[in-house]
Amino acid sequence: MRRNAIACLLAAALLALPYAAQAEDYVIIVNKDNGNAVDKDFAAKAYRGDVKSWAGGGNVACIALPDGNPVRAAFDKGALDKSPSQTRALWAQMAFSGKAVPPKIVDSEAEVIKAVSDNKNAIGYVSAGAAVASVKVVK
Amino acid sequence: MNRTRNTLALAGLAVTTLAALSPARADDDRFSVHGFGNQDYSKSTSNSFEQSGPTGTWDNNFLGLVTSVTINDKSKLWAQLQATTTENVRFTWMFVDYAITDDLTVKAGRIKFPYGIYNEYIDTRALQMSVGKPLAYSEEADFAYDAYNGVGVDYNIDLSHYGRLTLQGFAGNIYTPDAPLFTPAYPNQFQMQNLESFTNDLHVIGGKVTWETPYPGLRLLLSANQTKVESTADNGQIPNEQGFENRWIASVDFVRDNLDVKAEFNHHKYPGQDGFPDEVSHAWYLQVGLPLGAWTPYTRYDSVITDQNQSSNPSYFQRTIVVGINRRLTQNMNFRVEDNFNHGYALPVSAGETEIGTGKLNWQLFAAQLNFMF
Repeated sequence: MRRNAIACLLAAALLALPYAAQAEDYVIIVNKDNGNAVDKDFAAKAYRGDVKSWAGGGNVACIALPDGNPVRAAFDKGALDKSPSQTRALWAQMAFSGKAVPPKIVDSEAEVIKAVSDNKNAIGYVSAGAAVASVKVVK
Repeated sequence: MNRTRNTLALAGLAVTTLAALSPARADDDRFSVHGFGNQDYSKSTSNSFEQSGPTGTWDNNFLGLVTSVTINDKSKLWAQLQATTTENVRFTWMFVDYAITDDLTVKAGRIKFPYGIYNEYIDTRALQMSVGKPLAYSEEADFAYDAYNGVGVDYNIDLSHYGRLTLQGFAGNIYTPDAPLFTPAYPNQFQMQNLESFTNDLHVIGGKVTWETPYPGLRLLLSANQTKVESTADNGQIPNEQGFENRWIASVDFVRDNLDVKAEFNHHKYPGQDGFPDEVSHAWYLQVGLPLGAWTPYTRYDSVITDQNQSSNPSYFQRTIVVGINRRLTQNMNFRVEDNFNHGYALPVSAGETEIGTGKLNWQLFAAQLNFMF
């Protein structure tokens, strides 16, 4: 009985590992000149289309990685509690219902960093190990 | 001739769209464009409906382009341009919004009709489960419209641990491509007297409440509206009757990783004219889909009664079991097939494609669809 319980706990821990690792795999970035208060909750709302503007003015420009990118999967799961396909459907619903403009998709993390560093109103996410000297990491 | 012109327009719009678009099309952040489309084939065993009879049809198709133009930090222009082989190219909706705050937005123009789950993006088949829409969303059932001309307001309330509430209110005139609106099935008394009725000046007022519950993936919705009706018959026997038409729909929408469940109940009351009683119609459905990788089998039980006073007459009721399967071909393209097992033929009668009392009680409609979005 006890052996079964330990086996179950071990299995659960092993299953949880990828998700725990996934949750730490990304950081949220904004432009260095962005003086607005930003946290992960704000970012989640922006990518869901629930928040469209910065408190200090200007429209939030969300930058996203494409489907199939592991950082995209980690962000979608960790911040939005969705799979990439569900996120894609959500963004399509936003666009086709006239609710909000979906995030701009770029091909690589380098492009995310460039897009965010070039645009004061942009927000993006990259892997935790990416070179982020030109942008500001959201704590 | 018209169909040829429309087909050419459809093809032209498709080519232009595909040439102009790519998934990363956002080099100008002030302008965005997205598109979608579908091509269906359908064939019924009897009871001609939606141009589909025993010989089958390819005429059910749609190509839509949705564009947004940022006017300033507070305001955007939104538009959906549509093309099909059976209608002229037109704007399905086109409006300007103004965000007073992030939670309070006003709109003016030709605006999507806030009604239930499907009307949120009713033309985008790629975002839906089945080839056909639930019976309640069929134009012939007369529960929902595409758009209205007028003003609307959306207000979001963050309920913190209790989720999020969106309140929508609107007022204006129903938009239909061809005015005056021809309502072949309503009211029933016109058909009984072999008259055609025309309803004009459809002032509408209504609202919608959407509650995104704290339970992930679960939404509850309630929509209601009232339209003013002025009816005339083509022989002048029932001139300028006035009244109010009321509709409401209660909806449950649950979408999680491997489960998609939707259920809605519609109520519709059309005012009685010339001594006839009010016409009350109901429709409801329960739909379940089980995404399994690239495959999604789905089923729906659907029921509509277009006149409760005639609820045992197969010309006025229809119950349908839909069984189908969707195959995701790429991230943005699906192929699906389904069979609709029908009992009763209320909608073919409402559509004017099948005569009252002459249809087949039990009939099937097979449908296949290729859809895409970008």
